[in-house]
Amino acid sequence: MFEKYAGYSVEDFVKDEKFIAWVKFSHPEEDLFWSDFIQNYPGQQETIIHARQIVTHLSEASRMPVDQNDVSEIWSKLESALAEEGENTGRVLTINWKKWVAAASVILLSALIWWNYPSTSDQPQVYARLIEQAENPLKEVINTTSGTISVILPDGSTVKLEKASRLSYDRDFTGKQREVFLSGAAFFNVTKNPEKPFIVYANELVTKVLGTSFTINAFEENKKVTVSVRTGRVSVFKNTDLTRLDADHKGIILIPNQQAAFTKEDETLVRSLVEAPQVVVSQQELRDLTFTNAPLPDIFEALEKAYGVEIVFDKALLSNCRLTTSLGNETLFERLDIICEALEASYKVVDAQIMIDGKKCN
Amino acid sequence: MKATGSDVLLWNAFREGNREAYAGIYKLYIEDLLSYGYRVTSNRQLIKDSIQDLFLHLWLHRENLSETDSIKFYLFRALRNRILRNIEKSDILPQTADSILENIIEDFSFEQELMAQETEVQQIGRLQKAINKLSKRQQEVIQLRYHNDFSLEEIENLMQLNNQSVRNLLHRAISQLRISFEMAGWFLLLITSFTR
Repeated sequence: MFEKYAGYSVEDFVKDEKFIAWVKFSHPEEDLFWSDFIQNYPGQQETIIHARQIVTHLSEASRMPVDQNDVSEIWSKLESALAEEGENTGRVLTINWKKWVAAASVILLSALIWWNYPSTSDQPQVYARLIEQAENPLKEVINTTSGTISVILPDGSTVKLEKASRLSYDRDFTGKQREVFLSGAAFFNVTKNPEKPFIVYANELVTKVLGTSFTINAFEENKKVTVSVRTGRVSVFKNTDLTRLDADHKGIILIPNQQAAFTKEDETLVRSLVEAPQVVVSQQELRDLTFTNAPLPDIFEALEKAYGVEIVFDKALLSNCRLTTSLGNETLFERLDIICEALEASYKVVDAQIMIDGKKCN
Repeated sequence: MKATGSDVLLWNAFREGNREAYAGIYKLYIEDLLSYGYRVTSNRQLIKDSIQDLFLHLWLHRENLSETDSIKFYLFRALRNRILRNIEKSDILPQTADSILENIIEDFSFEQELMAQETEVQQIGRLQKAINKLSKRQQEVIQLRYHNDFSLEEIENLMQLNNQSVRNLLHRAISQLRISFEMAGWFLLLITSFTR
């Protein structure tokens, strides 16, 4: 099967379908095929290296660069056209958010958006004070519908804006940082750009990320402001004097399934776990986690891995405890409730760690 | 390009009127479509209008659309047909290729600054220029093949050519790139590799 390629020139490889597919998608099977080939025909190794490089370069160079303004311009036009259509038919937007994140790893956005320039009337006060300080003119989206709407930002990041919430942002993110201002609640999915941090001002909290997804809940009438992380890492800091901050500011770091809550009354910022921590490993990995009469520490370690959390327990004390269980789609706390009940133990969450309080088993 | 199950799901949800799915399709493919559009014609307004028409048409006629297991292929073909139709009936003077590139290249060089390896960036830049000197159809076939990862069969279908014509077009494009690199006499990896 190798003979065909024995006499190939660089140009032949560059045009070969199987070769291109290998360079672009590198399936393990193909890796094996080509490394076997090189072992059999070591003289072709350099040809292959060069051809690989050319295919990679061609892939890059043949792409016409895209103007991001076109991306948002077309979408806004579609939006207005569709909003009209939506009004005419009275169609209601339904959202099944999780399903689509899972199915296509796409963050989706919706069309029912009202674009407005910031108006001073009816604006929440804290929010108004924050946006006053913005350097560039801001674009504002207000969700006056009874459901969630989606907003696509100039950098391709998406925001699911909940009802009665508003979001302002720099029209084309020309500054050193991508700054947005939120009043209310929203889920953010931020496009990666290490050069330009993405910063959300929401009441007394500032959230800074490079590229990730997270939820912020910041209604002014509520006593708490919370940020919870779905993927990636974010840093969160207090902003009690409601100023804009410099880029190097450091805050507490949150990882998936963690949240930070700012309490207005005593101005404290506390890290904890989100209400329902989600599994962070793949379903496949999860399926392997079945335990038959297994030591409790093994089970806790598996839980730590599955939910990306830290569980603190006395290993020596609990090593004699054994359980038979499998990890399914339950939330972490449901699972812990079951385990603790079986062992007459209890747990509490302290600073995003889970502390287990149990007794020795015989 | 292999079809994926999630494409079928996304497409079907969109056909059932799910705006989230519709917007997701836009988000997923808009950049590829714009990039391809810029390649097919230099008239930027016509590209934008064509894409907007296409997506509007998709939403309004979603219930009558056929199934597809490759949304990307479906969109590329629909966009190409639409652009060609619009070119025929348009009486606007086409924007020149140069002015388009000027508009775009500024953003692009910013992107490239982020890349760590300067020399590789330069090489790609040179290759880019060489590609832009090919005939429109050659440019198109190179982008479809090497950037968009369409199979030869899909390209035949898209460009309305038979298998041999696509192969010839690709062959001529690659040879021409090699020649332009040789003539310029660049003393870099790329030439040595092409002439080996």
